[in-house]
Amino acid sequence: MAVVDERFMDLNMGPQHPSTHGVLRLLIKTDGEVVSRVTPYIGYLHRALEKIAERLTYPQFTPFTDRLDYLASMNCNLAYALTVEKLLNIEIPRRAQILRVIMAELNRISSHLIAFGSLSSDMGAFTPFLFGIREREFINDLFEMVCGARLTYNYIRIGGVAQDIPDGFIDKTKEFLDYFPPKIKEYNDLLSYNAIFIKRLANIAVISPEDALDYGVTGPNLRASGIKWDLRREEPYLMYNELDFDIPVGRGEMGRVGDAWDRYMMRIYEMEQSAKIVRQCIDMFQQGDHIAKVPKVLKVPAGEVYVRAENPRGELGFYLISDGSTKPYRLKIRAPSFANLSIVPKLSGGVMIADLVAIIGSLDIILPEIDR
Amino acid sequence: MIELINNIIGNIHSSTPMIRWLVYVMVIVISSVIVLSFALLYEGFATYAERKVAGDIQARIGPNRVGPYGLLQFVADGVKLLLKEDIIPFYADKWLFIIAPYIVFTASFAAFVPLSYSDHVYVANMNVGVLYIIAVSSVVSMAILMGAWGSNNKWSLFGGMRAVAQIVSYEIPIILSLLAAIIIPSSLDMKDIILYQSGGLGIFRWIIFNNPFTLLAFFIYFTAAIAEVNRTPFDIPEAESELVAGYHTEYTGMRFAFFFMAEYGDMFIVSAIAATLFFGGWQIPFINGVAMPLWLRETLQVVVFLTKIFVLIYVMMWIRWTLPRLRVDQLMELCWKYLTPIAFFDLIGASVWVLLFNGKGVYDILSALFVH
Amino acid sequence: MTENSKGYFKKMLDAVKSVFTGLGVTIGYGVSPGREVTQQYPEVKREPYDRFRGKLFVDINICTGCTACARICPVDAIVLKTVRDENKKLRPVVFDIDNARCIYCGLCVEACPVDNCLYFRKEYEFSSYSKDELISHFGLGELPQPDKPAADRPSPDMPAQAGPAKDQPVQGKTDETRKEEGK
Repeated sequence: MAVVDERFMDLNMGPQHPSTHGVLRLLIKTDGEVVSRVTPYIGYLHRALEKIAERLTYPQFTPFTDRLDYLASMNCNLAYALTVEKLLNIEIPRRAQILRVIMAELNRISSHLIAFGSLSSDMGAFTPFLFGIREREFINDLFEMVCGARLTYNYIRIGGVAQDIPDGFIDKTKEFLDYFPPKIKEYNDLLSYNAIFIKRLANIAVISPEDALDYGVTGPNLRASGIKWDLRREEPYLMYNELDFDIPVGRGEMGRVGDAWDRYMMRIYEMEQSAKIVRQCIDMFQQGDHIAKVPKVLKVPAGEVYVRAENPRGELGFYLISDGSTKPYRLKIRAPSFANLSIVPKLSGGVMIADLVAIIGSLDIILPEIDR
Repeated sequence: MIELINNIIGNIHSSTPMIRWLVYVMVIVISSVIVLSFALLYEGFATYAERKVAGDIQARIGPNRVGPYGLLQFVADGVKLLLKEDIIPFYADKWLFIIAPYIVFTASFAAFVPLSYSDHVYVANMNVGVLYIIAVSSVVSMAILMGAWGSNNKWSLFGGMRAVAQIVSYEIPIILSLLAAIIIPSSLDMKDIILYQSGGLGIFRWIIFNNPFTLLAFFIYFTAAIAEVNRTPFDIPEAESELVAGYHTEYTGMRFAFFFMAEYGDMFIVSAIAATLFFGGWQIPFINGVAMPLWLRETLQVVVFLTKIFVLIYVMMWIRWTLPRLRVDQLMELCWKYLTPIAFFDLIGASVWVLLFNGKGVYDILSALFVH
Repeated sequence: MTENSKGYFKKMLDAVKSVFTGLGVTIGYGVSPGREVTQQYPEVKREPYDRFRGKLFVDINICTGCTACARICPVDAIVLKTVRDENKKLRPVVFDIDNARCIYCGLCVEACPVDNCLYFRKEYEFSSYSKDELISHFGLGELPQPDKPAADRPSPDMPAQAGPAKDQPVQGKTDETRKEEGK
């Protein structure tokens, strides 16, 4: 019989809880308000996506990547497409590359808007959440124009993109790019530099650079710890090496480097940078095919490949083993949120319950990607 | 209205004690029914207003389905709550669980009694009105703890503990800042306080303009009052993103509605105290009411008083939909390290002012200067 | 005044200032009407863009029965059964699309070799009380009995399968028929 430590109270946070961002269950040992240990329990959203990949052909699996990180479907599509293309060793038309970058960066903005909004509602301010949703709807409209869907786009395909852009898309994107930067200022006034918000996040759950590397934390969370690592710069794919953009890193503006506020602010900065990238891409547009010549029955040469891409939440990697048939032999998905979640138990020793909410919100995890 | 009843009672003083008692009981019942219906009607519209204000601020429309402009939404909500299944958790402490909402509501409702709505419209003119309200509304914290403990839910218990800690702590700055106002008219009687603030065009003799210390006292009072009624940024007892729904997690249907109505009732009370003590109560600004017929003056006074209250309530709602929430220890820090010491020095300052200027306010001193 | 006490007041002032900045943003929305971005859904319906992936429809008369759509579908939402008719042409006797299984990825539409045979409509309101109602039946039905004249074949408007009437396939794709059907 297990010995019950009476000093601590077991508390189940989730799977149904307003701020576990999905169906995550955290078993918390608390001493009053103070958390002494947190154990995440995952798997409530498990759909065996990796196994499903083994029974589907390569193009058929693309819609399933939409359902990894549903807030950044374009980026997931992209990473998968890049993986298969690497084994196929095909050249992507220039226009398709530009379109891919535009979609990926627009999706990055919309994903960060949700991160911003959900953290703010975790912190008790509900209005910024709806402001974030409002701007996201604009991007969703753009995506609907291009591919007909508002959440699971299935737009970036092996070899290029599904369809060329419709008339009016460029104008509408430009309209968005003019509309968006003033909204960032609004977010900053309303939330980012609010004293209460800073007090809630600054110096909370500091991830040191060493810890970040040890736990495999990636994406904005890693950069917030002061490590300048962005795959778009380090291992440029598509045409990122031709684009001019900054990689924001945490500077500890309101507290220590790598605290929750830094992680939050990385996303605000990255939204600005993404808008800048989209603007450059629009100027670089040129005529051409939107998809390379890909055979209808796609047989991928036998081999192994690991490709990673910078998703809004970190590095999304696909490890693909092909046996030369039309279906993957094995597809392993390296989900960024999975690694990001793994640091939660380390961060939450001795914090308060309210801080735990801030930690999860600032790490911006998404469950379908973790459980797969 | 009340005058009339008093007259009746006066006329029957000669009659037998039996009849006199009967009339007294009748008066009590009738006046409580009047106040109760007013309170319920107000609470209904306050919930509507809250949602409408939230909608405005969040670039939404808000309730607009039931009745014109959605004005009857609260009726629909009330009916819905009445018809909901009344769940008492199996492991709950049934007595505490059942009785807690009624105590909360009674305490909040009882505080409506000593308010002076106009020169002649009031329920009871107590010579300790302010003290009575503070005493009665502090019962709320006990009832909340009863409900939280009775629910036998860990989240509820957290909410209840937080609520008690918060309400008890914030009573200190509230009382200190109210004292700074009360020492000017040196009375606890609501009517006396309001009468003291007559003259000066109905504005300049408001206690808030009496001296710099009362001005500061108002801001301290208002901040602490928001905490006292558990609203964002001090809504940690409910904190829906941390504690699910705080102390009323397990409550459903009408019992939940009682908690809900009590919150809006408390908002009215703290705003009414602020309006009475700082903003001249029912004093009509800029208009000399002496020449008016009695009914018109009384109506105007009631309207003016309610307007002041509703403006303050609007400010509370506005703050709620803007700010994030503090953490529980930061909330205590704000109370003990900022509000309480400042309120204390403010009280000393106000007392010195009263000593130095013999109770005269800035307006009195300036007008005296210019007259001579 | 010590450094500490200076910090005390400065912190307080900064906090108050930032709170008022935030309040300034929200009051802008609070007092000026007409900044709503939401729509009153059942009354105001937003027109989806042309490429909107709504409900799948099949123009069964031009379907060649190639089953490309059923094969590409990653979730097996399309059930397609074909038989050879008297002209040795493939005839889709059963063409069921399960809208509850469909993930609206659009792979089938791209795979379809015939223009405007399988296509998405802008229709997005098709919730129902049972899963059976969510299956659209487009199939032409079983082959007619040999002794019956060809005119007596079940027409596409009245398929042999018992299906809800609203899921009838559309004949032409003129705007009028779409308007009538798309509810």
